[in-house]
Amino acid sequence: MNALIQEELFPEETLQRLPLSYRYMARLHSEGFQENFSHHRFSRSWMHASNAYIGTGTYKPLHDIVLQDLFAD
Amino acid sequence: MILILTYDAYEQGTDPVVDWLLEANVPFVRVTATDLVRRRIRYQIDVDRQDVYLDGQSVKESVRVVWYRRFLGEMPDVGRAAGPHRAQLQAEVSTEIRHLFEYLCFILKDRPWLPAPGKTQLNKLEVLNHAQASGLNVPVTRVINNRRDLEELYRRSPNGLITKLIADVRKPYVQAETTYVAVTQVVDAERIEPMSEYFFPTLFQEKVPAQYEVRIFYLDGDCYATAIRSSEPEHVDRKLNGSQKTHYLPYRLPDALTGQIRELMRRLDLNTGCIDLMRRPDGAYVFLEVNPVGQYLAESEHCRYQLDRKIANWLITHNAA
Amino acid sequence: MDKRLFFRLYAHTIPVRGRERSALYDLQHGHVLRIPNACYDLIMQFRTHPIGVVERMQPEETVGWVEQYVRYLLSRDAGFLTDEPERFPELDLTWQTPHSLQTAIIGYAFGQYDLWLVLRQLDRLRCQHLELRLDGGPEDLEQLPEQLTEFDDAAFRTITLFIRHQPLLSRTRFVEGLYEQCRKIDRIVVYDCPEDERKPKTEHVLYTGKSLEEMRPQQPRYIINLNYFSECQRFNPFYNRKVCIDQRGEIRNSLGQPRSFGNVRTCAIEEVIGQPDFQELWHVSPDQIEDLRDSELRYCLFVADELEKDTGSGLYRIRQRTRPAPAVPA
Repeated sequence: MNALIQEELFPEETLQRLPLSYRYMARLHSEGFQENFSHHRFSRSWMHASNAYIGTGTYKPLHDIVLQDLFAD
Repeated sequence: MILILTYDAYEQGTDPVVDWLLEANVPFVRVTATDLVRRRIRYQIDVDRQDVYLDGQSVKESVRVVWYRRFLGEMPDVGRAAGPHRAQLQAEVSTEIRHLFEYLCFILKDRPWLPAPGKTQLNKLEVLNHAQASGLNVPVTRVINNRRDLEELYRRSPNGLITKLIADVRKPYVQAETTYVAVTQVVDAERIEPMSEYFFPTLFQEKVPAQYEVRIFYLDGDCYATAIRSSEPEHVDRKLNGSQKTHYLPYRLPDALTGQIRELMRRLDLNTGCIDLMRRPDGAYVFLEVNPVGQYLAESEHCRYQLDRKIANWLITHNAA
Repeated sequence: MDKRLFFRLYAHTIPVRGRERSALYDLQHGHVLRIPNACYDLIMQFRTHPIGVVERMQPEETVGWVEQYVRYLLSRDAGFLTDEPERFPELDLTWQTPHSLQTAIIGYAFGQYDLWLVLRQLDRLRCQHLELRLDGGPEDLEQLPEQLTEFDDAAFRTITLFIRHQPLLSRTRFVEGLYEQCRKIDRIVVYDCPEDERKPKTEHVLYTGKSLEEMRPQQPRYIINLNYFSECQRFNPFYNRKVCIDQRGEIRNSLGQPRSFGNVRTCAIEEVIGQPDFQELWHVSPDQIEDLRDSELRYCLFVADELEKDTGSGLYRIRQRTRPAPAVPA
């Protein structure tokens, strides 16, 4: 569960030399941080000239078996 | 041919546009900073002739339009073996690539760009001035280095204050399972109290009371606006699920506001960008910031704006011109 | 309540009228609220009139319903009050895609045709999602990692594997290794697996004793999101932009559909899927299906059944009916 907890990353000696924003940084779980995409899987696509081709599923079942139901808890 | 300048790591806004280019069978080439440094493809830049040769073939004339999508956001790493000199080396290598990139922009300066080169690193403070000159409301904004002036500003701000970085620094600090991000923060008496008499010059703004947020994707004169509203707690049944929901809604801007946005983008020499505004309870709109290479996909999907297709169409039209 | 205000549904909350009842689809948060048709009719009036005017438009005995319904819809977070309704337009529900082919479902028993030639065709067609249903012996399966990794830079976003159980799969790290090696694999399901051979489920790998047929939904299934809803307006989301190839290489709209449009041994997939009669079912929206068109849930009910055309009415019927819809899940 992601939580926008505010926490100090840097020691006090460093914080004294920084803008106020660094004293109250938001701490999040890396998995949940949108720009990390660390919980996604990536491959490549020569056609897209992409080395970070995201493997996201689609908005509907592929066929007559609903995978989400099989893998649900 | 369309030249796409992006980076190697995942950039969510690029592939959806590329899908439309592929569907239209329009040629494109995708280049990253890593490609310039590491890819095993033969190229040279002929400075005398201001041309670029790929595998011995001139490509300058074939590039008709350029889409800049965060190219300078990721630089190749010099590696840990550099030891104690790593930071300095990294800075110098990054500068080297940046200068090379600037020269490529110079060679291609007569091509249509989306957005224009050199316009993606904006100064927030200057942008606020341009916004004012365009007729937009902006929050009361100060850069302060001392507690006395900060306390005075706080006293004069009935809705409170926020602080954020002046520069558009968005990179997170990742430590394994945990990520730290510098975000816009509320500044209240509790946070002012322990501050020293003098401190690093910091940006403070009045907190804008918001009925809702308005996010605009701007593309060559057209505004695609999204209102971001929260559920209204005074009406919603608390038993529903206890959490306040966020609603992304297509939004029709007043004509006057559209005109002001266009004027702002003209002043900034930007043909695209993501603009954030707040709508106050009294009906006024307050400009916050513009990001020339902001993410557009979420609002586009929520509001069915098909912005990926519109960007692709813009590139295709300018490629054919 | 200030009755000079307008009640506005959120743009992503879309009313759908059925014969017996109506429904509000919240397509951003994934749920459906059933409402009486009378409420639907009021919602249509709210589009162009403030609350007070809508009240005055009602017969005297039902005037009180207007405020009641508004409070109810607000309490369900279906909309909001505003004095600027013109600022909040409706969603454009046009469904568009840059992909002529979204999905390919392939049954393969390692012998009847060359799967890898088929995958190369699908790659050239920029097919997005691949589902492979494999039934082979250990010597066939052992070739999989090497062959699949040849498609590591194909246009497929995801590959889903259904593999009929062989001891190789449960007694070694074969499946786990396959998932790690081939970056396009999204999920692997080992089916028809004896109980004592089933490894614990992970996020991406499942061992099950069920057959392919038994894994089909046994209860009506609902898909509530914006893409699905908009696709339903003019297309059939089950058939649209899909090609199926069975174990004999026959090209069909669905693995269960009797009609074949050719065989991959002799036909190019691109030619087949470009034919109007292959694409016929793509365009059979729920409004054209007799069993669905009067249901308020027609734009979220997932129908994976065979369709047959009533040549008289021009509408279609579901050949094997799904069970009647129970209460919609929250």
